[in-house]
Amino acid sequence: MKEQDEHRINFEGSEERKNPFLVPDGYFETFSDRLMSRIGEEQKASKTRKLVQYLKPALSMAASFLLIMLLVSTPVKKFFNTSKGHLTVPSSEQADSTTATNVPIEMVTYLSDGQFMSAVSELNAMEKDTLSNINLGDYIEANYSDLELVAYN
Amino acid sequence: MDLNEKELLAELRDKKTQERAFRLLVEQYQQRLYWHIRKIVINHDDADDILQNVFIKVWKNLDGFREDSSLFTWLFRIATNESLSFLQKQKRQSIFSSNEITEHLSETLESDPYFDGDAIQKKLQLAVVQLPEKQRLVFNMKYFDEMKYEEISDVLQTSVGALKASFHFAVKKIEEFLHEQPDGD
Repeated sequence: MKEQDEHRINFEGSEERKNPFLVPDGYFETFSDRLMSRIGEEQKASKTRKLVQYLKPALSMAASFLLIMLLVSTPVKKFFNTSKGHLTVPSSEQADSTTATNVPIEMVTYLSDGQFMSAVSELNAMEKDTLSNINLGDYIEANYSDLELVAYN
Repeated sequence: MDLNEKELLAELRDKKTQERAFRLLVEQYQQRLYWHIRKIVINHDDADDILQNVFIKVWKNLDGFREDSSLFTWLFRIATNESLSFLQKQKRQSIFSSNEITEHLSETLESDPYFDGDAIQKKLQLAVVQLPEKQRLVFNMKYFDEMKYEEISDVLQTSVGALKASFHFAVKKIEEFLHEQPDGD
């Protein structure tokens, strides 16, 4: 191998080393302007990316905090609503009207519980009334015959 | 590194003069780099994209330039690597296999609207694109760009001996190609 290798390629013409490629008209004259505008665009995009990267930790923290607040506040609200439902028991008429106005199912459930408690307390009151006010002798007289009474004795 | 290059580098590192100096750098080297890239990828649009990428890389890495090589060598090295990466990317994306990339370059050459050479020049270019990547690079830089082996050695980071061997084999293969197709085209 020798430095003369390059002279071994013999062509009929002598211009084989001439550059045979072309470029569009004005390509080199406008290249630096096109390049600089592309660099300008990339720098703008890079600044935006940097700003987002800079704010990313703060934005992530804010988003996490918001998420935690939502996760905590929903069950807390739910809990307080439930407590309220038990404390202020609506009357049966109110309960019926509430059910009729398509309130959420959960609310209907709470009101039904309240309604049940109300019914129980009314029943207790009625029983108390029954035992205290109705005359026992009259009751026996009305419901049992003399023969039955003799047989028991 | 000559004095002009040192002055240019100093201006490139100064934020106040950076943009003006960069324009000077582009205008000074754009043609040599373009032709170097064009001879590797053949197609003008590809060469244009690569040249822009080269200068954008240079712009972003001005601070990282170590003055142990000349600015010209550094630019040529980036241009060579970008061009070879472009061809590798085409292979990786399975657009072309190794043999097909040679065929693709030949076809591009045949249909290139920006090719103004005569039949002999076209035949020589067709012979060059048949060469393996490294031999093609060395042949282009030595034969067309008339670079010294020492300069090529700095750009390609290969020993002068290995470059001479590559050039020798490249010439041999081109001769064979030209003799196989004596009537051209």
